[in-house]
Amino acid sequence: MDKYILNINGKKQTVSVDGDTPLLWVLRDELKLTGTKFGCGKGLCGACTIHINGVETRSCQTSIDFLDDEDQITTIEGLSIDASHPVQKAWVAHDVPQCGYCQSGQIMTASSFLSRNNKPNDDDIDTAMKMNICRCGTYPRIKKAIKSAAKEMKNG
Amino acid sequence: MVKEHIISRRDFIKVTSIIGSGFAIGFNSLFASKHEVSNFAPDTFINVLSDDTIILSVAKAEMGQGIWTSLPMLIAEEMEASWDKVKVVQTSKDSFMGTGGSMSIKGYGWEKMRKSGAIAKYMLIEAAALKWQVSPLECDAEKSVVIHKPSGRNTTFGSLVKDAKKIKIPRKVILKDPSEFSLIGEDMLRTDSKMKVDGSALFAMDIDLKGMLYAMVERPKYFGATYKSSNANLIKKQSGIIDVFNIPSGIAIVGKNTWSVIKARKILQVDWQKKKDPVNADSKIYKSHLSNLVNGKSNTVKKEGRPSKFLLKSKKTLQSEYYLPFQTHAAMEPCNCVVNVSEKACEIWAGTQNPTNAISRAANVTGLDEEKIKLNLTFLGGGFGRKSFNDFIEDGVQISKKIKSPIKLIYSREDDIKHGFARPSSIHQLTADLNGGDINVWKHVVVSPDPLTGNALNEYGADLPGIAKWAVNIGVVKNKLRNTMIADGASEIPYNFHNKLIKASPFETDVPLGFWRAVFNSQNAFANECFIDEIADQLKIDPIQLRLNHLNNNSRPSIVIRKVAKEAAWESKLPKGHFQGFAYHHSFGTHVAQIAEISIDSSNQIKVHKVFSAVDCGQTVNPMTIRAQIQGSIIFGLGATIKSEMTVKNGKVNEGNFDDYQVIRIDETPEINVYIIKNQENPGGIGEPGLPPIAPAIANAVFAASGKRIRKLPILSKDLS
Ligand code: FES
Ligand code: FES
Repeated sequence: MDKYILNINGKKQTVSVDGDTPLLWVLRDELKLTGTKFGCGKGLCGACTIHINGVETRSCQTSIDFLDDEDQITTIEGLSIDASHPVQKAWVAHDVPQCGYCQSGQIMTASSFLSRNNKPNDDDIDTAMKMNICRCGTYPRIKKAIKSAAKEMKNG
Repeated sequence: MVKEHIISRRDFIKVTSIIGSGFAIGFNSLFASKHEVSNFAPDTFINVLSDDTIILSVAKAEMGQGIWTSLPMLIAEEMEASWDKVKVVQTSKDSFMGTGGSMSIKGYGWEKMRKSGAIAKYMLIEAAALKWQVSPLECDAEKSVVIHKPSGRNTTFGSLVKDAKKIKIPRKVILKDPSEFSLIGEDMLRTDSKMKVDGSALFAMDIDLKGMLYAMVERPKYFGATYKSSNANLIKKQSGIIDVFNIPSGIAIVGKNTWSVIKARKILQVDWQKKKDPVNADSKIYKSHLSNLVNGKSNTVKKEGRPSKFLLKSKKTLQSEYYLPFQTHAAMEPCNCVVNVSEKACEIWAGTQNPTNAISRAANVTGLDEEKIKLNLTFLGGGFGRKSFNDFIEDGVQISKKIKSPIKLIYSREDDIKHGFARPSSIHQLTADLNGGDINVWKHVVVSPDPLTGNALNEYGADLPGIAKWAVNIGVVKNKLRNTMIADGASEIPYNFHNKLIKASPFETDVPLGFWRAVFNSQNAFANECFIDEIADQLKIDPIQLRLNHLNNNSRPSIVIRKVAKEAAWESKLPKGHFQGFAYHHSFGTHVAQIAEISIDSSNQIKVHKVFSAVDCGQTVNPMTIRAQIQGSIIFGLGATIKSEMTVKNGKVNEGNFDDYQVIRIDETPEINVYIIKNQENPGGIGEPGLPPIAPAIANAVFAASGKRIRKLPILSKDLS
């Protein structure tokens, strides 16, 4: 067991865990940041997506050993204050969530991708989002919400 | 005509003072209770607070189907509550409704919820009238305000809290005429979205208790295998591991955090004693059993006219067999629960579709009275039928009881896929007598195990009586007789053929089986709707026309069918290489017709471009949710049509994760257009009926595109070469 200092949602946090522990379990079990979800543990579903230095990353595939306190980790809890990120607002306005379990991951992927491309076409959206599974089938509304969030991000 | 709705003793209503100073009415909406209850245990509350907030509790699990929005809408409509003042909470009482079978609105919500709202309105109006010393008949309510019409005096619901408590519960209420609805039938945004976009929505796996330990269960590698030996002693010594012990379903590994349990499991070695003579527990054996049975003896579920006689002397018959594989649910949230068993009580946090049964199972394991079991119903990260089985909750209770500490039990994705309760694999033999150029006889033999009577249920922790009660109570199954439920969706085919024969041939298997979204309708619709397409081709009739020929002109099926044909521009010119296929099915009180538009590329990959879906679910509550559920069902069903298949070999499930159990992703999702037929028929289900038509619609489109008849799912590119 080792001590690690992590920079999560703008706050330094110290945890004592085994070095091979995936960030997913550090977030959920140690730091009680449970908005990040476990879906497959194999990098196949995207439920565990967070940002590391602004880039969408599968936290189930990221051992804590590979991180240092310079790395800025953002989870769904830290994406905005009061769900005010354009992607979150678009998600609510388009009534995207069903069971909601996959949505943290979807939103983290979408927000990172839109920060790089705020004029996405359908193919761009497909390519960026196809690593995130939604078993409830919210994809049609995800597409719509991404387009409207993109508009707001471009104008704002 | 204004209809008065009598409040019977079975409505179990009481004015209670549960939360602080509010005016609260509690209802017991368990429709199954025929006997008097001495202990009044309300499961639904309306609670008006003095600041005008209205708290509405929901006794059903929200698993994505929008119940947190649609049930409160029903109450608010009759109560004349201002929707933006409504807050929704989950009931945390110990009497719950099961969730499934698309019955939330259909079987339970429609009357009960509306009556509850009407009672609250009545009492608030009475309270205001008494205060103003006027006749309540001169008063009305609107947007959370009571108005005295002649004088224009008005006051908010919140101001009436104290007085309303003293009003007697009415014996009769008048419900609104649908033409007066202002909320019901309108698009309303979900009430649970915000917490689902900021990570604060709580699923069972997100619950954290002081001193909580983390657990997983290693279950037998083969169906029905028993424990022989293991290296458990070595595992106990791993870092972070607290204990390793056997429970009835397998070996429990308990640790300080999830990762230490996952790591320890990787080196766990168990010797399992395989079951002697496992019954049909291999896809190959199972399939040949299906084929043998198709021509063997079967039970008659429905007979109209003289089908056997006509078939015997028929000069023109058509016969086809359709095969469907096993499917697992693979909800995004793997099964899990948090449990704290102490000497005197047991508290559970879980997302279950079958809460009553969860409580009785926990009572059995702990030896505690059911009153001592507290179940906190959380959001479900998808259910699709899987979470009506409470095996995972029983495991959690076993572990917490043994280790004497609160625990969180989680399934890995592999546990979830390998140890679920699958949709059975089935074969359907369809035969038609086409004498006279029309369908004179329609015969359908369904060969499939019945999950409610199978070996598997009894052996793999499913609690047969508990699950059977759930399925029957909430209408998951229609044909309630033992072994006939496999004909659900086959026996109610709406086409008016003169002679019909529907038969069921159930058999036993060791593969654990259960209810998968839309249950047997998903299988039977595939067989029905592919076969009628084959017949149309034989008879050289347009497939939609052939169906319409066998329906009354203004019947609900005929209306949805014509609607979708019009919207999809059936029979008109499509983009090059695009082809359409049609299917219709009726389930859970809802009629759905779909047209799929596909193309097949040079490597025989099917691409589904568009799906048009017309839906008649009777009186609509929240069209916004209906569209979402239909889209979701189509996407779920699409996976089972062109991608996923669960297989079993040598007594175990082959697949384990999303690499080998493939589901639909965003880039494979077609454009989906949903058309809702407006009428005032009884509300039907919406969570499942959108699923059954998609597979046959695609299979029929594949025929249009390639001339190949699809009689087996999933349709893979190798089947098209
Ligand atoms: S849990 Fe990390 S990708 Fe599925
Ligand atoms: S909303 Fe349920 S899995 Fe995506």
